[in-house]
Amino acid sequence: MKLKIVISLFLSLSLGQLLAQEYEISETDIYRSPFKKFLNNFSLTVTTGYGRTNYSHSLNGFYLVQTPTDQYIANNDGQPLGTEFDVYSDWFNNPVLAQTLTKVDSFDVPFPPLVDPVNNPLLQSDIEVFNADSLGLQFSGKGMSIPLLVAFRYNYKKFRIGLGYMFEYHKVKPFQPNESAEPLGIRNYQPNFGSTFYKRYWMGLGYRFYDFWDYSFAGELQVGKFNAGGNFNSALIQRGMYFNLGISIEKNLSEYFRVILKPSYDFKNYKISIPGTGKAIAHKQPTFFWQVGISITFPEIPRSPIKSDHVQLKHVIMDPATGRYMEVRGQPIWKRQNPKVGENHRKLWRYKNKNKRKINPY
Amino acid sequence: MGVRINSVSRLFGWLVFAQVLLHACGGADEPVPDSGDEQAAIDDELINTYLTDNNITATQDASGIYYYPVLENPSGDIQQVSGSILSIYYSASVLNGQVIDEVLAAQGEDPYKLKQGVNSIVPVGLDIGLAFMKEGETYSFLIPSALAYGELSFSTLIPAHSVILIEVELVKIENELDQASNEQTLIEDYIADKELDDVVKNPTDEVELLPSGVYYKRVSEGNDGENPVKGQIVSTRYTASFLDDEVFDRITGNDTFDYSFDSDIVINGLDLGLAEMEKGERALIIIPSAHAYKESVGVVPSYLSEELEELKVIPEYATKIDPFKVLVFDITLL
Repeated sequence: MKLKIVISLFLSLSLGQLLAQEYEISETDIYRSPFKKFLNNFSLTVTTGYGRTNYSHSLNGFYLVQTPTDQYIANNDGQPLGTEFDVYSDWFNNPVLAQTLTKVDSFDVPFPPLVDPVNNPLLQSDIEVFNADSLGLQFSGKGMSIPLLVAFRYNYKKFRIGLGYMFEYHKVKPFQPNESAEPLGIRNYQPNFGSTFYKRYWMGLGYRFYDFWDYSFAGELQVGKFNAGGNFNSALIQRGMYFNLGISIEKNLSEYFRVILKPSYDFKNYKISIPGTGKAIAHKQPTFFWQVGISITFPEIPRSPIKSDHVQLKHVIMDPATGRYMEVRGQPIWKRQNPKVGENHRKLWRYKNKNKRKINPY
Repeated sequence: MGVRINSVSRLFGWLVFAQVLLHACGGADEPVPDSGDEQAAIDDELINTYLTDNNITATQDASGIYYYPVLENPSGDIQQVSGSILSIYYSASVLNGQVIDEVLAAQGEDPYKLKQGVNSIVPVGLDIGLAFMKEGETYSFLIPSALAYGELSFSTLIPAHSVILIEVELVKIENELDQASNEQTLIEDYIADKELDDVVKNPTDEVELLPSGVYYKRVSEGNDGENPVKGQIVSTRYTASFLDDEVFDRITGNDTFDYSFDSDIVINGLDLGLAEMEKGERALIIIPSAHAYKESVGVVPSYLSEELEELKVIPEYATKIDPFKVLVFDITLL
């Protein structure tokens, strides 16, 4: 009898424990948007900043032809240039056959004397020819960029894979000849445009290799297509893929929001064909960027739709519109979602500007 | 309150930093370059001080040069006219400085010949000044730097922006015909001296005076009847010298000088001589200045010609050939 009582007491207690619930709703009762859940794997990044491009090219296989106003190149096929030759202008971005120049040392013996020889303007119209091969002639110049970048990426564990687009306002400064050429009177080469817009599309791969408190560090590689825009003659340009290596230093302001500082280096080159010569000039165009911006990861749950809901942490409510249970955020995305005391309000209430002059701010 | 002061002072700090950066980018104050007018005023003052100090009365020309007679020749009735060929002795110096060049009768030198009024004299101020002179006169000219050598400096002798003082004695005024006959005499002396008419010593033909005034002597035979024709590209090698045998230009070895014949590409005298030649022939062409570089450019002092050529003030041929030079081309028509 005693045993029966003990068994029945044990059973009823176990059953009670089994049926009794700690919360009135279970996890399965909570509705979660599959779309938001899917979107939560993605981040959107927007940055801007400053880029510095170091252009350089060698004029190997060409002559540099300089008139008092212009600079051209002429093909060096191993033969002396002769007195009449074709010259091409704008070998940086749009080489075209400019004209056929006639070069004679027309003021030397045995060419005829000048009328009015002293300070004759004709003396200034001399054409100078420099053999780039024997001089090792190179030009290098700087460019400045202001980029605007939008990227969309998928996060998987510490990996990230994404797509992006960057628009660049770019200014080019005149190119300088190398030092050995300067004493010869070779002038700076001025591209035929001052500023232009560059565009690029890429696929990116990254890995977050280090986390330190609020900071994350990720190595990122971009590989893509660079479009130099309308100032460059795309029909003459052969350009491979460009690639960019950078480190994204991210300050995580919240689970969904971070501020980014990203130094990166662009490896990009192009070759431009000089029509009619069968030759091309190789240009190097590496760029170093400093970019700053923000990155947002799409939240998997919405803000609370209830106006009077002042709960600070993530919590479950019953959606007044649908009657479903749903988990909601109590914080905007740029703040800690489950803050500890004071975490989202580091500045004391009494020091906030509007309260500074109040005797009793509370 | 402490927070506020902190943020204000930090803002101030940034502003100071930004200011420093801006200042650094601006660079140091650069001296404003002298304008031409300012330099002219400086030169003018210098000249006037010199004239006052030495108690000289000089006339200023509209161009800016000052001139005064040292030895007048009122009876000298030959006033030179523009385009005359002048034989001068001169002594040029930097004002208040050293003598930079001189050609003087006292040193037994021949006078320097140049042509006035055709923009073929450096310094330009000398060209202007010579216009005021009569034969037999001696004048001094004070030439401001803009009409002398401007910014050009030459070692320690001629500083940049120098005012130049030139004393000129005008020995003789001649015209083109006088000059042509002078040169003819010189050439004939040269021919006699070199025994060019002696076909045994100097084959193959005697010197021939062409109607143009150019002298031509065949040295070795070419292909019979193959004279160059107008517009044809001719290929030549030559050694070019003056009557004193000083070589001033040569195309030798594997190099050739090619040009379109009789198309005003080269000095007229060369075409005139070459017209007589046959392919493969070697000849001597003696060209009077009228068919060569005429008055060229008279540079005082002549050692400045290389610098002036680099500054594109004078043509390159003027660095090699003085005014009124007879040229001798020992030329082979290939």
